[in-house]
Amino acid sequence: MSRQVSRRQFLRGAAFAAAGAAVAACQPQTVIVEKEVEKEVTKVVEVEKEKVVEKVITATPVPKGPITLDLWYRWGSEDGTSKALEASTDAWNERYPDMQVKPLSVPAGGGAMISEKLMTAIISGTAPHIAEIDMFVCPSWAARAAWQDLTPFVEAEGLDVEQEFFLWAADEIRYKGRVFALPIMTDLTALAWNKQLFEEAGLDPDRPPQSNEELLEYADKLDKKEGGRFTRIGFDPTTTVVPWALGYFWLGCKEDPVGDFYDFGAGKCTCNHPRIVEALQWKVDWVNRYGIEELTAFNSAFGWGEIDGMGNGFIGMRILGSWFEGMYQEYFPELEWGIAPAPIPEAYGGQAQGSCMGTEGLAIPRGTGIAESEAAWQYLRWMSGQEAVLAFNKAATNLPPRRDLFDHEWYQSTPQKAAQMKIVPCGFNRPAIAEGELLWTELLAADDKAIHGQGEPQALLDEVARKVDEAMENW
Amino acid sequence: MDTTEHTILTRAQIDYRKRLHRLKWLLGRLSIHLILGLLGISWLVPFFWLVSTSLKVDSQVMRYPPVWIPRPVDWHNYIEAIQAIPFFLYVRNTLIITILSCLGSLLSCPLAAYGFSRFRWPGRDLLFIITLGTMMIPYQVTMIPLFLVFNALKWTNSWLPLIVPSFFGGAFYIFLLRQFFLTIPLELSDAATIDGASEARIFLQILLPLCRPALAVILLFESLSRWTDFLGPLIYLNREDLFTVSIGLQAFVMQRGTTNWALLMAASTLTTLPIVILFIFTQRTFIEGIALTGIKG
Amino acid sequence: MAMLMESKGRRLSGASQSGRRPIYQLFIKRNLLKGLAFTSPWILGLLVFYLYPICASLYYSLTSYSVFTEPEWVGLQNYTSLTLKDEVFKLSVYNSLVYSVMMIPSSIVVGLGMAFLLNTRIRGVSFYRALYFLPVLVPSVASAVLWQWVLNPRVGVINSILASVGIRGPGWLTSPTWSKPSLVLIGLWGAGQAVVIYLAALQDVPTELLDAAEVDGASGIEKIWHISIPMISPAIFFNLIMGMIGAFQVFTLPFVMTGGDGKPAQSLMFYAMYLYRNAFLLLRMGRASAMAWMLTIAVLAATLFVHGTSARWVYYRGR
Repeated sequence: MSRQVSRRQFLRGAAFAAAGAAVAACQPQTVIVEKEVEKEVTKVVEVEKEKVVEKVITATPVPKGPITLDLWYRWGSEDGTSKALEASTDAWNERYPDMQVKPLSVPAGGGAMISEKLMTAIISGTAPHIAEIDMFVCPSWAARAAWQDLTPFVEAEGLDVEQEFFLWAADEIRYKGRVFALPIMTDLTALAWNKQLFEEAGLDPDRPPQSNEELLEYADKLDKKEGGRFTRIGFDPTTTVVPWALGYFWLGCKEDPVGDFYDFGAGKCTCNHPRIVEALQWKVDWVNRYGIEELTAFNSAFGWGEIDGMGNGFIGMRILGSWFEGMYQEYFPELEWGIAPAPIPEAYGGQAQGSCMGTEGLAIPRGTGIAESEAAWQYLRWMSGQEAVLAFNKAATNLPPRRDLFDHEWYQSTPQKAAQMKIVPCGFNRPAIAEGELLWTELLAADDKAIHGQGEPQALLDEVARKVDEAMENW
Repeated sequence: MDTTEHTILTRAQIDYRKRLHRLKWLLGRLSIHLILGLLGISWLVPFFWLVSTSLKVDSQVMRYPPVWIPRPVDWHNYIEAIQAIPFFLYVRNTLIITILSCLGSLLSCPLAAYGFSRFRWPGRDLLFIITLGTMMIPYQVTMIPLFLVFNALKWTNSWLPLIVPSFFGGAFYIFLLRQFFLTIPLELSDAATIDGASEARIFLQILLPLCRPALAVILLFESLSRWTDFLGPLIYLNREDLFTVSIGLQAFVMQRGTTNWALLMAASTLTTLPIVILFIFTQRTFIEGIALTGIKG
Repeated sequence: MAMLMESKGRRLSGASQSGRRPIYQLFIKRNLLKGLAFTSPWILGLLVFYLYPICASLYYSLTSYSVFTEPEWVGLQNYTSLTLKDEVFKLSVYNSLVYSVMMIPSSIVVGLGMAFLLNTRIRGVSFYRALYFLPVLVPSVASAVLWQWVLNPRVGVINSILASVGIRGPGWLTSPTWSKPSLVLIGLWGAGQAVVIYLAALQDVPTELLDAAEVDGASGIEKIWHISIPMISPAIFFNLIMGMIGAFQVFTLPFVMTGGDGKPAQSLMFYAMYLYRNAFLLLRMGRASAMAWMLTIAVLAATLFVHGTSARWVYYRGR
């Protein structure tokens, strides 16, 4: 028995190594080699498929002895999301005593979507067996062979990721057709408004602005100025409006988009799409309405929790993310507020259809052993399953990447969630390209420069596109 | 010339001059006190703000105009910070790293500095320029290759990468010590050589005692840089039980975000406090020591 | 005294007649061994902790290297694409230069000024010394957090003080124009380390010289300018070089403060930060290594230049 297992292990190991090599070899001059290796991989996988399927179904893939899996996640250990993760993991640990998962909070620093610690750990071979990551950098890191290729597991199980998850989630977990992670939760950004302030300003508290034109009107009524300084801001365009969200408000629905940040057909970065340029100009115009110095000074007095600007009645409308709902429930239970699609010009429909979906998921870093990988995969399936996703969403007031949770009653339990769920099917994901991280940091910088009046949106975005295209030549 | 001028002054004139001189001297003192005092207050403002904020209840933190003296004085931020981070463990870890790398630097650096300053030998100046050059090399250049080396040695997730290099000297301290050695007259060694002393004896018995103040400066700098080191521990230490105070604080900031200012200020105060206390107890040795002993020998 | 003169004379004559006397050859050899013996730990350190990594990094700078995959040779492409095409690279060079130009002179002036004030024999001077040294003890992570709070444009302590006298304070770290001066301000707050070096050097200025000057009727300023400053010129030289290197490589403070992206408007995107970003966020180790190499050469050139001029203005006794 044990001999058979070890032979199996060996073969599986060979499959993984070959798959890793295939990804590692994703360079133009090694295309032929890559194809051969891939054939090789599929062959090995085919041979092993039967046994693997058998294994997966019985869900006891532990060859011998108990396995302990380390998991790193980036939220603070006191965070609600972390508590949800711990709770779901406890349930897992109870059910599978042979595959104990030990979660550890390893916060990412320095604006990185993945912590440098994880990066250095992967290089040094001291990585955890499972890592929680921001899904949009998953392709970048998959291209750099940081993750184990999960495709053999996916195929063995017959899992159809596009069927299981929304398209925006399915797109982000894959790179060049291979699967590298599974999603566990998602958020989006939309317009939020303070109903009490609406009432005060003589506006209908239950009717959010239906277009950019109306947004202007509303903001005029909500703005308040005293002694040359704003004491209340009608619409704050800066908070949580990351360039992605901004662009995706203006690009329609992912099912039938007006455009995107990357054109896979042409292999070109299209973050200078006319709509996206216009969207950035829109933000700049809004910032100029208040003045950037004034706006940053105004916002510097606010922060997360008790000192939130909208919660304390200093901001009438703003763009914010799903996770704020939990904060308002905790710190401002009395606050009356709503969520609506972001306003865009009347000519483009008045209200945004889509939004940028920020998905988080779990991946298995390179270097995780074979037995551990199998156990980790089971854990990934558990955590991306209905029960765990719902628990996460409840803890962090986020949204499900799973299609089968779309009709779940909990997502209709508050008007805010119901409003967001309407946007979910139209959501966008950030392009799954090898230079996703570069595109992200460059867009952030371009956005920051634009609102500080250091460059025109068109020129700034042209430069980003050029830079990304240049970097993409290497892949 | 001056003396002749003095002799023709009358006694009254001398008295007057003396009094004037004394007045000037007093005024000078006073203005120095004034400048130092005013500057000192402004230097302390950030500290005051740090401690004051850390003792505020949340509702007072963002108050405008600001509350200077927290009322009531509220310690819950400190309690929360100590509960959230294993603070004393971090202090212990940092102390171990600090003490061992200080030891390393004190063993290795004077040797090299002596070799660079007290006698000529072929290649000395070239080697010294190279040594100077290493100070200009950005940490980032050596960071990745060194990481791979330490990793191959299985030294990651240990304090070794943070300690061992100091036993091979550092350009900064060698340069500093060399500057001090250069100001000690060569004649001193020459005389000893004539008396038959070996180079090792000259180094150990004459030069080393003379450069005690410089060694104190190095001790201070090394312990400071170790205590506040950020990038090194960040790269090499992943396990929380090995963390130093600095990355412990960084992790805390990352976990809590930069908005709960009162809590962040409490954590920052805790991080700074141990080395401030150490400094208060040793500052006579350090600053006064440097000041009083001097390099005159 | 005569003995000392004699020994010096002997050494000089030995040096002038080199090449012919075999005894001199021996002398050299002995000194070579001695020199190597004293510096051997450091030479080992140089080889392991500097020479090898530098060579490795030079190699990486000529490759496209993402750490996970093997380096792939690309020649000078990293260097050319950085200097010719990369706007952020140019901006980071500009930012670092502007910061250096502001930081280096002001830190020397402030450091020297503080040192002279703290070198007076007045009551409580040790208290003041301790006080000005205090900021040096604050870990940079704590310092970054603290100053973000102190310089908060609305509720920060500095703007509150300014507001109480009717001045509307700037946006400090949130304003592209003020962000670099803010950083200089924080840097000057921590100037105590340089002050210690100046103070140590000032203690070494012979009191006889100062007394003699006083008898000659020199004023305080004259004494400082003509005696103290020349006498502590090695310390100034040292601080100048360290300040230069530090300013070129400024990293931790702006990195922690801006989360690594150098906001606002990339005004705090310094060279070392962009290098770090290339290396660890974008995993372009080749590019980052190329940046590191360019920085190294620039710093080395600037330092050698200052070192070259030092013979003219740095005064060493006993040499």
